[in-house]
Amino acid sequence: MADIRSKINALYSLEQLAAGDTVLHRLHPLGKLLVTFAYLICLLSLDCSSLHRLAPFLFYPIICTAIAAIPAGMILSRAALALPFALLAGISNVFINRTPALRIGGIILSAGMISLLVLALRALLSVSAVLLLVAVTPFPKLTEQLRRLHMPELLIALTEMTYRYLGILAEEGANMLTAFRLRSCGSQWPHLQLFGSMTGQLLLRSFDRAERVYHAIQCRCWHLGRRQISSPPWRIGDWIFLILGAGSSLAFRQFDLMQMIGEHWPW
Amino acid sequence: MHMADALLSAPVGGAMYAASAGALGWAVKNIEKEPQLDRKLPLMAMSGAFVFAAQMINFSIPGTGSSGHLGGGMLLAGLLGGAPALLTIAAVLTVQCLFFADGGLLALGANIFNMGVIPCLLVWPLIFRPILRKGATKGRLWLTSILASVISLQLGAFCVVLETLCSGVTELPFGLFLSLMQPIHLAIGLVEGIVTAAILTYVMQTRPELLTANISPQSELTSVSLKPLAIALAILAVLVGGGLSLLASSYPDGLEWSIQRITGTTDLERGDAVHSQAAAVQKSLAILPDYDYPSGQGQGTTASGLLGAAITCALAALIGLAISCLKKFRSAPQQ
Repeated sequence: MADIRSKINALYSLEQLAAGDTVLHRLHPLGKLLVTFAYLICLLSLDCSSLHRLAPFLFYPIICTAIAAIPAGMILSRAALALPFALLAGISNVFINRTPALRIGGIILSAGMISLLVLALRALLSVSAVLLLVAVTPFPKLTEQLRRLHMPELLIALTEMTYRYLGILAEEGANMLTAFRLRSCGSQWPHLQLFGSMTGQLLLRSFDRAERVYHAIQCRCWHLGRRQISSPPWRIGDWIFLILGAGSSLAFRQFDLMQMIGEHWPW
Repeated sequence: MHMADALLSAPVGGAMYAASAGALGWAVKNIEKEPQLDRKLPLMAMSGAFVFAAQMINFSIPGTGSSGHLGGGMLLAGLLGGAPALLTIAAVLTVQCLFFADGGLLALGANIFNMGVIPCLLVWPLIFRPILRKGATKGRLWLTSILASVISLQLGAFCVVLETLCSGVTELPFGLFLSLMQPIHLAIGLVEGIVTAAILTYVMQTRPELLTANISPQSELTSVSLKPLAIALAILAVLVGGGLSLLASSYPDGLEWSIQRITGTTDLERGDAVHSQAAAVQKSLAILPDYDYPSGQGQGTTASGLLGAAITCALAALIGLAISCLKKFRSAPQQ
């Protein structure tokens, strides 16, 4: 339970970062959403053998992390969670495609090794881009933007409530565990036989609490349905961000800039 | 089971988004007709939070050295019904993708399909509900939960294999990839089935109305046309099938290809039988069997590309450092 609570705290810590006040935080959420999607599509449509072409895609996460003053370690440690499955899928390439493809000094890399590296880097970069979007855009602003894009209200309300109810669930779970430990004469965790009833009880208790919270929200005039949403102004800075962010991703995808730089380097 | 963005190509990710969007649209339309939607919403949200928390707990799978976590689709479908469960799992996957980097943003459509559409709109109406409609006894609930969880995870894992292969990010032959994915998800499915059965049994004993409301013949899927869903699935089948056939046409059969890669054109020397066997094994296990390029192709272009990449990386790092230093300098108290 402590583990779940710490993870839920970690979840809300990313939201705290979104309360910052930097240039990136003040941009229109639609611009940030569009740039993130453009970045992901361009990054993920690159060939699995083009290791060097991933390099310019480092600019976006590095520059945004620096401008928004987000701890890089926090983004990297969360992004690393995406690595195991990507590595699992890519490790086979190392053994199957063993054609030598690149020599760096005395080290020769096979095509399989390169595709594994590309997969790992793509995983890190794509996850970093999504985390950055959330770290510079408060969750309510993001969901408001989704409403303006005509996403179904029910789905958005459900996502918001699921996100908020996580804290309630953790509280209920912690209360039940404390109650169990106080009555169990030193036993820390319930026996496996009790698992079904304990978990079921947690679920039903949480349902009751969720209903009470929901009624409280309704008493404050909240109701499910289309709402009037004010749109923040789209400024010149949003245009610049959109053109620079999405345009650079498209340029990096379309042209092999690294090849050009390498060929024309004065050395 | 959560697929990362790196495992999918943009076209496959887009196709899966379209398929999941169709299914979600149908689910929203379906559930909006419910008269007591307001009462169901907190249950859906809390069930979603519960599955979210349950997915954080990884259990080890004995004898494999790996671990798994609950999918939660069948539990949600058992508690809420097919369409509400699909919306709930979509909400869970969205929050996980945005805040936990668990599953990618571009892969969200694929994840909703594998972990939501399959258990909630295929397995629940076709397996779970028909069995329980004959009478929700404890034994039947256990049997149904385990069967439905295993089938939904097997289908989900199969879709992961198809989507990854269509994206061309792994060179594992289809059969080998399948033989790695299916058994591991069989074990996970069994555990998920037991957990689902244990929770649903408790709910049935304490609040039976929660379960029986969803398995009555009047509920959702019978009252709404399945035509749009069938069309969406047919389009997806054509897209996936087309992608697979492209893949099949550009590469030889997996087994032939693997044999060709391992043995190549090198003839094994006919010396001592033990040494020959050992050399063959060594060669098959070596990551780089020939320490040189085949006829020296493509070295120059790749080397310039790498030099360019190195320069770009250094430049990006420098810019990042410079911005951070500048911000620190500006925010430092003025003397």
